[in-house]
Amino acid sequence: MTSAEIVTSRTAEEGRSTPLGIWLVLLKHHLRLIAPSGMIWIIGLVLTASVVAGVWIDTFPTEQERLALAQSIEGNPAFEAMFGKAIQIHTIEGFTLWRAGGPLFPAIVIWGMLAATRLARGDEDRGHDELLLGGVLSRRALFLSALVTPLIFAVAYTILTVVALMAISDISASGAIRFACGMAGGFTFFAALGALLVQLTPSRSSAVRIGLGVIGAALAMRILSVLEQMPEWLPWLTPFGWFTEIGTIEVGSNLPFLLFGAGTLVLAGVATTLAQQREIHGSLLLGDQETAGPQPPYKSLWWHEVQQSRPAVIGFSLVGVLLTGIFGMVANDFAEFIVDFPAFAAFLGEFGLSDPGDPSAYIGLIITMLVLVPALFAAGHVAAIREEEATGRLTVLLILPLERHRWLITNVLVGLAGIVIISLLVGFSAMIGTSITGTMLAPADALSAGLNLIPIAVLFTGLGVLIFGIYPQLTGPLLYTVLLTSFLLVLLDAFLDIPGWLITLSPFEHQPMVPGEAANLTVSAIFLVLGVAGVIIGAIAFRRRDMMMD
Amino acid sequence: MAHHASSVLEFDRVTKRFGQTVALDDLSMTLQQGEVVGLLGSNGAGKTTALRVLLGLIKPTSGQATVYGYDSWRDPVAVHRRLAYVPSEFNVWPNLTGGQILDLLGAIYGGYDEEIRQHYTERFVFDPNKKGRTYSKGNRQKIALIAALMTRADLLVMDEPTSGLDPILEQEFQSVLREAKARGQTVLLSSHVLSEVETACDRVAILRNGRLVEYGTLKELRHLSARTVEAMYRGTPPVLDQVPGIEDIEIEDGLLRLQVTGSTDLLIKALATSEITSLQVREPTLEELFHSYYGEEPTRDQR
Ligand SMILES: Nc1ncnc2c1ncn2[C@@H]1O[C@H](COP(=O)(O)OP(=O)(O)OP(=O)(O)O)[C@@H](O)[C@H]1O
Ligand SMILES: [Mg+2]
Repeated sequence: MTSAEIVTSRTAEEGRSTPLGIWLVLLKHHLRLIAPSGMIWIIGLVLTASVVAGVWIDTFPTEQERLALAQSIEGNPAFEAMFGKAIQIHTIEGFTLWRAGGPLFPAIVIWGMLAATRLARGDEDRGHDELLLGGVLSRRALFLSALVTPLIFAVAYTILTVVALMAISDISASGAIRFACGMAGGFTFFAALGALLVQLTPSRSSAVRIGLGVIGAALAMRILSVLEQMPEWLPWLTPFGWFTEIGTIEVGSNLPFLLFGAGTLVLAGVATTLAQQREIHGSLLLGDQETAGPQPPYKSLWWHEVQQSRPAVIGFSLVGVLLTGIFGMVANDFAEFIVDFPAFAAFLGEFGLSDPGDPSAYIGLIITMLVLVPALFAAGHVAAIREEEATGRLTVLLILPLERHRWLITNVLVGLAGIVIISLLVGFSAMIGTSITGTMLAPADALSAGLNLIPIAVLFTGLGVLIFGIYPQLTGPLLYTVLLTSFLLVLLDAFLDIPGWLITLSPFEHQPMVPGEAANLTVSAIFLVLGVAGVIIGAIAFRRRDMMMD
Repeated sequence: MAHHASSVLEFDRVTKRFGQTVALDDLSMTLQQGEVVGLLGSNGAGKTTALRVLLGLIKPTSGQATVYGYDSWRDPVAVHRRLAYVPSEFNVWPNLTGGQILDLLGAIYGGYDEEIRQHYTERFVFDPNKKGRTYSKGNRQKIALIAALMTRADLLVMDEPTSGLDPILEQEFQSVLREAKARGQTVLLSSHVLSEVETACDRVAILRNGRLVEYGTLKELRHLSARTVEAMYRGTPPVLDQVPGIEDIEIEDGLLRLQVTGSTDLLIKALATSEITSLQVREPTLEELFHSYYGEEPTRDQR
């Protein structure tokens, strides 16, 4: 038989698989979609938690030291604002939940939000869905697969975390399971929320924006709820609070697990119901108006690029202002506490704090953590530059009399303006935060704290543009990986003996903790020079390479 | 810089490789001022690649493309001042309205006539007040067309300009092309719509696996390729054994059909030996021409 005969002689029925078979193919497709990034998330999350639990014994070898630690931190707003309410942190179970869960819980819920929206809406926004739905698949099957896929990752994460924690430390099985299930609960809860949000919004990106806003608000509430003035029930309002209330098996609650489970089911149920009412490419709540009405004219490239970057600048500024402001409010608590517990200063020395008795030292520490805000903005901005090329939108501009490097430099400068705005706002909101609760940070200190954040963000801009010029497809992934790895290295260095040469490679290691420490102009200058060099070399390479679309 | 008096654009032995794939293989062709040229070829033949080289978006592996004497790769901005481009797929900014996108493209081009923009907006029945993400494929294509036409650039380069347009607008586009030609604009367009090329284009270039296999006026191409001859005869069929350049001979109850390439002189003489009641010689349509280049062997991307 020729191939034509084979094709014509087969009836449609013969070639068709069972509904379950088709669904499994679909599930595999969805797993494959988020597997690469999912793998990186899981490895990062499991590794970080294991390190925190693993070094526990070495860091606090005696019972006495552990009790001292617990006594000084539990109930102290300065620390609880950072990692959430501390419960029984003299046990390894309580410490892991607090110290590892504090920063990792926000991370895992962001992953849940990104993964679920990608699965439930990403294909559709790119027009791939219609290809799938044109076949025998129902939208319900497609949506269910998009919901089940995160669940599989949640199970994988839970198992890996429990195994890794128990292998590396003396944590009890119940402690490991409580930690892992709490994290996974947050993951599935926000994944279900993401699947719900994409039903209400006109696109994945607007759902992600709203979702990140919800996460930011919940995190802000976790931080606020540690203040003495706040009511007892406040933590129970958000999943962030539920997570901290897990505590340990002795002094903790099992209610959070119920809440995570029930919350996930309710959100997923509502999302499924809504998904069946929504038209493809439609939205149930926030529609695009048919006619947008008169719009401001678009008369130059500058104006255009400013408009495109505006939402990101506003979003990152809000996050930065909120976090620094709140930390600023607890800075004075911190200073008072240090005066009462001088021995504790040594522990903080591990973080690189030289004079912890000063509120500005605490602000310096916090702002150094918050350097991630402008740095992540810078990375996102360069990733968006690549996105313009990948989607082919850039082609339409570059066939006009517009030099490639002019377009690139315009974009870089707009990004730089964003970096400056965000950094200065972060600095000044620390000033406002401290002024609310007592001694105010001097304006000059606030200014230098803000300015100090700029060079490192410029450095990452330069690195990003360099990658963009040489290997555009890697711009986003490589830049984010370098940024987060080098930040993580410095964080872990407080606990682990990371080889000196490796830690030197991380720019964050050299970042002075202004205003607690004096600004280091040499370091800043080196960052700036390297950043600018990266931009220049990247721009030259960009001029010499082919335009590459996805 | 070589300025040819009337040559608007020139591919000079352009080769473009993507890894192992030879997307363009030693392409040489020129366009004269005021010409409308159609670029044909199957999927993956290299049409888009050729246009992207011309625009300086990608660098030729060897050879060079010039527009009005300017090298496309070295001096793209000088090239872009004289041309407008319609890509085959136009991805728009989802948060900008169609009007804002036209504002932006016009501003970067360096100005345009508001009246002309209005004219084409109405002609293509385009609503500029919607957000980019709500436009259908055809409507996105209209933005690209309006943006290109409103500039009145000397050279229009278009990659499948009518893909996604409805039949009425496709017709409208034909008259737009005629007007552009009347205005003296030079046009290079790639297309899969052979009728469009047949009516609008002065010359046709056919690409196959990155090679230019044919380039000339339709008349020339027709002349080079086989014509269909149909003859009705009475009595014994004519003896055609000695006639060169004929093939696909079919004979049945008084009807003879065959293909002839080159001169018809010997064929007519041979036919004259029988009693011929009617004779028809038909030139191939562009579609038949296209099939004669693509009919038998599979092309690279089909293998
Ligand atoms: N960026 C790229 N990387 C690798 N290969 C490419 C790239 N761009 C094009 N090609 C290859 O070059 C060849 C020519 O592609 P091109 O897009 O020019 O074809 P085309 O004639 O425009 O086809 P179509 O009619 O489908 O638009 C194809 O084999 C294609 O796969
Ligand atoms: Mg093409």
